[in-house]
Amino acid sequence: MSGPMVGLIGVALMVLGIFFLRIPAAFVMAIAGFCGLVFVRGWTAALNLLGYELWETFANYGFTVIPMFILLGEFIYHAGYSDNLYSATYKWFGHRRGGLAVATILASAGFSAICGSNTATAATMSGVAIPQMKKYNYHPTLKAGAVAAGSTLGVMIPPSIVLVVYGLDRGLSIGKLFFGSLIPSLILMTLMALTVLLICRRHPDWGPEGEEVSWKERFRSLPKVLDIAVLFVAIMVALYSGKVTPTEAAGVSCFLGLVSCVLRGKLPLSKFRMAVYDSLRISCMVLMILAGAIIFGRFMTVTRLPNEVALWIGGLNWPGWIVLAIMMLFYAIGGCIMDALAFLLISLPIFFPIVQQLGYDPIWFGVVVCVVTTLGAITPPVGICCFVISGRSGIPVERVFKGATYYIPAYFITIAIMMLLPTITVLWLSNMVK
Amino acid sequence: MLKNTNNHGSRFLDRLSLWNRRLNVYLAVIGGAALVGIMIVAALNVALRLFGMSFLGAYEMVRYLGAVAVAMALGISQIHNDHIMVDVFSRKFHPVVIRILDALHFVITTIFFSVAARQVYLWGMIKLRNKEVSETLKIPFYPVIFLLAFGLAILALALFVDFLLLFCRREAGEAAS
Repeated sequence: MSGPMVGLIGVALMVLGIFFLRIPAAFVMAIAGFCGLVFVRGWTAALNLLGYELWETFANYGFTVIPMFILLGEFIYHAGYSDNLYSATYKWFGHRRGGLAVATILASAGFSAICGSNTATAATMSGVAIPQMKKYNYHPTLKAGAVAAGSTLGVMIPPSIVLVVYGLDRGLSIGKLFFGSLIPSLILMTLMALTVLLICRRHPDWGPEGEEVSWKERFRSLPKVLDIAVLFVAIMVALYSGKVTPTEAAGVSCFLGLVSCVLRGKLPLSKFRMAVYDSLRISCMVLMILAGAIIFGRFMTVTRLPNEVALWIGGLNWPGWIVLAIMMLFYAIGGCIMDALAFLLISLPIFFPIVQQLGYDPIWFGVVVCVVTTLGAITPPVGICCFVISGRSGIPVERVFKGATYYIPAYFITIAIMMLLPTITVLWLSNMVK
Repeated sequence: MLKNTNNHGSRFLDRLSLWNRRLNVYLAVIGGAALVGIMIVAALNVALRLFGMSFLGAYEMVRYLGAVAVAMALGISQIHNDHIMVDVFSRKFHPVVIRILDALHFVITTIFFSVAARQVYLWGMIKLRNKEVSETLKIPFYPVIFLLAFGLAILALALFVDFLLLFCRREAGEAAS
């Protein structure tokens, strides 16, 4: 049996294992990769590689950036900074029709500037924004949809865990990925806010106007969110300068975040413990997926399947954008049925060589894929953010999904803009990073 | 008599489950300390660099602390079912099929992580035998490899306990019916 054929069977068995055997994706990838290596290279080589790869993954200096960014997000989450963010955005936009929903999206974006997880953003913003919107008789579909859409910005706006993992897996600059995702995040955020205004234009009773706040009050709310802005700028400047490693940038911002939380009396010992405990568990989950993907990736390399697929697709002479569109369709479907991170790591060993063969920029591709897979967090049947919001707010999950559907065009428009204008949207800023 | 044996078995499993949870909570404390350690070392390294000083071995310390943090959290993340599982299709299966699949899952993963723990341990033994030390700090790092092997073994144990609990729950269900 040829190498690529073994690889293909391995991929099929892995997919079957993930969908039907009820085994976590990380474990399936590791087991399928290991069994494949046993088949191709024999027991001794596969066993030796297993021990070596696990050690090299878990004791990888570059990978420690993941727990650091997660810990920073958890500090901010447990310290309750989201209240300040929401209060500030509410004072600026709350008096307009649908203003609270716009404020929710902007506050989610602000929270995402520190927290790289969409589920954490969804959990936080449902607790903060939904009660406020309920107070002003906002329609459940509008309020649930705004929180769901806003929460997906968690993996779009730096520091995004999905982009960090993508960068580490493919050996790309995390700083470039972060800067590359800035403009697409802004476009998506703006389109989401416009969607709210359009919904409220069609259904004026869905988002009644809030109280008018004086300009003095509005400006007075800004210093309360200064900490988050400073931390975000610190991360971006540190990565831009190229003088510190991503781990150091994450470590310093994490330390500054902790100091700021403690000085403001927002993080008592019990919350600190919870933040560390939760970060440990999430980091372990993410690194386990990474370890599984690396072992599976080694198997793929040995079989030469990715190279053969890339050569085959190259030989088809199809326009690059069609191949890319098919890939994006895969990612959109994949994002709907499984977690973005897991799907990304499963698919990258096969899709990435194709992208390189077609001559697309890997940074641009990473940001596009991040937007596409993020969409899966608010679409059925998996739609993790919708389930989190439903669980936290008591709004039926079907209504949350319905509310989120209004924002799907915003994603498609963002992706279209990124495809039409790759230099302006992604590469211009990412190429500035040293 | 049979009922009595079942009660003893159930009590033993309850205790085993409790010990497993307690052990993993203690290990998570060590993991948490390692996580905070990474933050301190990374921040200190940058701070010292700003003053023109260098923190020798910061890179290695971060690496080893990272390995300790994850190794110590492997068991607790399994206990909390933190790992991403796709049950879009399988949740529609008959409960008996789900139970069989879960049993299969726990058996396969227990074996796999036991093998993984053994392999990491053997990797550590190679480093011990060769008396390998880290590049900058010149310290032997095989104890960290052994800690990772221990963490993987604890993960295998947590999966095995889940397997036993699956049958315990089944027996409890049958007794109730």
